[in-house]
Amino acid sequence: MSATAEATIVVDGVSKWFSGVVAVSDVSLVVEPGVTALLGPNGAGKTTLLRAIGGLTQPSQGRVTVFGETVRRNPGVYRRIGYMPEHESVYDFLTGRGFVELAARLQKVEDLDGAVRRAIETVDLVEHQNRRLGGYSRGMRQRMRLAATLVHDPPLLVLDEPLSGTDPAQRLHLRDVIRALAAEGRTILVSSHILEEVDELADRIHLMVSGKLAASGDYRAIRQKLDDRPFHVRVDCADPRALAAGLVGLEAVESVEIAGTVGLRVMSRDVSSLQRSLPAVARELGVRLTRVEPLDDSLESVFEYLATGSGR
Amino acid sequence: MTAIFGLTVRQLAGSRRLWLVLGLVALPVLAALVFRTGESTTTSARFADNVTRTLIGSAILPLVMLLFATSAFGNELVDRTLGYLALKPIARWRIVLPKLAAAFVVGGLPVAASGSVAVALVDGGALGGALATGAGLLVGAAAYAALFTWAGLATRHALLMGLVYVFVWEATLAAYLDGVRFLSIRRYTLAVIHGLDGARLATIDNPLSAGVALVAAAIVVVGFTALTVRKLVRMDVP
Repeated sequence: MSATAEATIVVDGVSKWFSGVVAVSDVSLVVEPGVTALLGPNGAGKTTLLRAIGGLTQPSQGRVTVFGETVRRNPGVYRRIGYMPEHESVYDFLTGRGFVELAARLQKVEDLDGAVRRAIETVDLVEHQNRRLGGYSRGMRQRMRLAATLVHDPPLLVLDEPLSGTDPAQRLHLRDVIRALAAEGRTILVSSHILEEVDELADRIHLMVSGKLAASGDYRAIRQKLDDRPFHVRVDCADPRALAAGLVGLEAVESVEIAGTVGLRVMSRDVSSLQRSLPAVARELGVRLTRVEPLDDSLESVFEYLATGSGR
Repeated sequence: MTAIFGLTVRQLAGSRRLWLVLGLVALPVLAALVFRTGESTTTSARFADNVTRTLIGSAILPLVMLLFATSAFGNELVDRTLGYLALKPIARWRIVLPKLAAAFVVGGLPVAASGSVAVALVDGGALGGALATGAGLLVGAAAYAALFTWAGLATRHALLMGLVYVFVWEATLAAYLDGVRFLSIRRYTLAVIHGLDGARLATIDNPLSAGVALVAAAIVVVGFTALTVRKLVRMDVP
């Protein structure tokens, strides 16, 4: 693939497999300044791809460059990268400040005290900086890990599930921090498995499903694809044949299948219209509804639809 | 490198295994005190040799170094904190050397001090044997540190591998097979002690000269340090 002149990260045909299990399959993408989200369900290969970008793992195939350089076996490039791993483990015996100081020392930051102070202020943990990390809540640990990640003021931040474990207030705060860091011209790549989480955070979204890149675009484009997908609804009632005959004429209904003696499987692309029409049709036909349940409302099925064009 | 050295010392010294190690390290001194205060049919030289050879050289030194050196990287692999070091602009040898040094300092120094004090107590305060014992134990500690630090990074079964090396290879095979003696850190340790003080360990059958033992120990240190650096460069960091 051809990289644009502004691309900070270029992932070119990267695959990674472990003992015959494919974690990432032929992914190519570029990441430019601003906030880019890598979205996908758990097990989609997001972390493996981020680890390949960060040089923590060697791709089985393909190439990753950051600022035009390979990262693997090139530790000098980490001066320009702040990478926050997914797992939350830290050195529990260190204080929050000690942890950020350690990162600053290893990065050979010149104004160590100033950089540590600014980083801790950024994540709003000044009050708790002298407590041991072992006593921190999950959200506080995430924020202090972010402080350690940005203490050397890198132009690229790679954050694996940075909002995980945070409460709503912390989430809003971290979102604002990430947006502010991006507004200063940085490239920020975040991963998440929650679509709404990346709304208002990311300028661009790369959607990964089953190790493959399923879709790319801004939040609106991804949302539109979600809204366009067909929904399957299970409807249990006293007389499924009569209700199927009544539903099949509705504009919102694409197909109706009879499932057993009391059930229907209805497919619709306009679920809100179906929600309004279904009770009215049942009432008109004198059919009592006993159960209405969306069959494919899980995030995994949404991702699967976007990846393959067919839901479950 | 001081930041990683300090971090590793705190990791190793702050763990519960420190108490076990302190208990082990106290044993030679306790044995020496018992010898000095009680009646014994053996000579002080023979007792000092036995403590050095069987208690410290065969058990305490290798076990203490096994516990600490395998943890120098092993802890960070288990709790997945190695990334915090690997994701920094630091050449890999600059990560390995301070970790090795930390294992040597936290494990090797107390054992060497314990051995020296024990021998000095048994010898009635004579320093020659004590210093030779300390120096030999430090040579052994450095070699064990390099071997077991590599093992801690290279395999999840480093402790088992180390125990097999110490109790099967060094304690059993090396006692019967001449060739194996040249591949035994325990033998290097004892040979250096004997080389520095000819009166110490004179009765044991040790085919190595102190010079050969020092060169062999240096080869182990350099070789396994290089292997550890190579492993860290090539491995996937968890």
